Amino acid sequence: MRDLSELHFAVLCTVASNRLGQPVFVRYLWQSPEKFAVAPRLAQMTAEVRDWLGQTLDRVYAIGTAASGQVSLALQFRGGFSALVSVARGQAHGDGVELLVLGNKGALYHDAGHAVIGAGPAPYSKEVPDPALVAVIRKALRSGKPEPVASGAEP
Amino acid sequence: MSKPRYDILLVTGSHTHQEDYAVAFAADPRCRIIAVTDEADIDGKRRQLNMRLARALDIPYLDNLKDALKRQRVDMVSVCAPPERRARIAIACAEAGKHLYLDKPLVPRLEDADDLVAAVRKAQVRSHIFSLITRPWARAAKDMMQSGRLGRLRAIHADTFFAKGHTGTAQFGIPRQEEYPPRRQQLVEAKRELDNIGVYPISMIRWLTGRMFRTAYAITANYFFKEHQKHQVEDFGLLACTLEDGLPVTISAGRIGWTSHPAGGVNRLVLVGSKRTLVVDANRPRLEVYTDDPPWTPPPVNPEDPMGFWTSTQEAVRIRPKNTWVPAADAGPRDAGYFLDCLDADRESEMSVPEAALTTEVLLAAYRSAASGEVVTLPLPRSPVR
Repeated sequence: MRDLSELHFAVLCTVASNRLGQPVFVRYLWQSPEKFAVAPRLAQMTAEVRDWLGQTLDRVYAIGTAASGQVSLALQFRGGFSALVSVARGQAHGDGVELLVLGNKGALYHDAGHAVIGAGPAPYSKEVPDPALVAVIRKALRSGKPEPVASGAEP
Repeated sequence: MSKPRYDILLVTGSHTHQEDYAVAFAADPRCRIIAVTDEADIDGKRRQLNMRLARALDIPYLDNLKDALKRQRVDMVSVCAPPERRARIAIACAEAGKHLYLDKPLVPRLEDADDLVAAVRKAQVRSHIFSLITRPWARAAKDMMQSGRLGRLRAIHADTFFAKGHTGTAQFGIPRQEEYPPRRQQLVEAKRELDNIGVYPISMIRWLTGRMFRTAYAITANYFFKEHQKHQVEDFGLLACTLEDGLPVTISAGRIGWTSHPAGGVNRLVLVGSKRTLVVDANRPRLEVYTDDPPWTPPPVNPEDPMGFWTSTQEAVRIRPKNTWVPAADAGPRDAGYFLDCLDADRESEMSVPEAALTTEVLLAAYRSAASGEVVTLPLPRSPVR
């Protein structure tokens, strides 16, 4: 796996196949020992999750601190679906990805043990994160309360 | 063989977890189960189910708990009454000087939890709530944390899902409005699954870290089952919490359907430390076995228990075991045996009523948050006059 775009594409294809039924919840944890820009990385992950769920993002609540490299987002989507998206700076297992997608008729699992044997943490793709998502995540981190998402968060 | 030293009274019978707890106690030579009992004013259906377990165990059914606590020599009571009745029954048993083995979750209301904690302390009885802390993977995780090999704990992420029930029937587009305090906990067709299943990761995190939860933000939802939706109880919940000193914790829990997992369900905990990350998975170590056996298929719906809560109702529809994943480690000591060990040693359980009451408070904070859409701070406020 060159970067996580291949994993993301595999998830997207599985979701599109309808094998899971309607995706309703995503747990996505990405871990790396390297320093990374927390809010932009979370924005990239949130955009992926939003595409898998196919709903407009409605509210973002953040715990942790960017300085610690440990931040989790509770995401609520306009149609009622939800997600937990987390980054963790630290020594990762395998590719450092823990991923669970729950559909109303099935589930998809990927954990670090499913990565290429001996693989290190998977690098993130270099796509530019959605500035609106970065902004709302930073706001949620500052405020410590759930923040509504005004715009720029369409699937 | 030594004579049994603990005489045990069972409160409630079939169609509760008592079916399993009774088997565990009956298998332990330290115990003798003397009777099944319940409150005198229960309905006819519950009485029949209680009598069914008494018959299966070849023990008497005593139809008045108060009399049973007076008349019989009883050392311990195993209480599996529905959560709505659990507090007053457990308090009566504690006041009668009996040790308490209680089904999870503890009780549904903060006042109930406080009253039960006070009763247990006043009566100086031992207590234990069913949990997963005796499992080898839990003990190994605690040993690793205490060894310092993780370094400083920096975050915890936990997921617990039961793969039971025929899913895909919930209707989308109906916004869930959570209520606080929750009024219904357990019905024939559905339970509040954040309460019923979320209790495991919350109590596990409390037990592993010894730290208090300080904030809770939660979302509850109806994603999977029409039965839960019909009764306005959630089949899914998530939490984003902080512990004392700000440690971030995320939890997801719920019931996701028979075919959504190759075994009984997801039970994972990711402990991120400053030196390394520990992934604790109840389904590891395991073998994966693929053969020309017919593929596993869900059992037919048992109208008496469509979600597969109880052992007897699943046996009645001839459920087949899932055997693609084969555990490659011993299951460890039974939870009931652990509590008997505590009684033998005259020591407090690590999942006593006061400890479990802390989990109850986190769950209630979660429901309050889900109802309001806001972050809730713990401890929850108490009514000044009661």
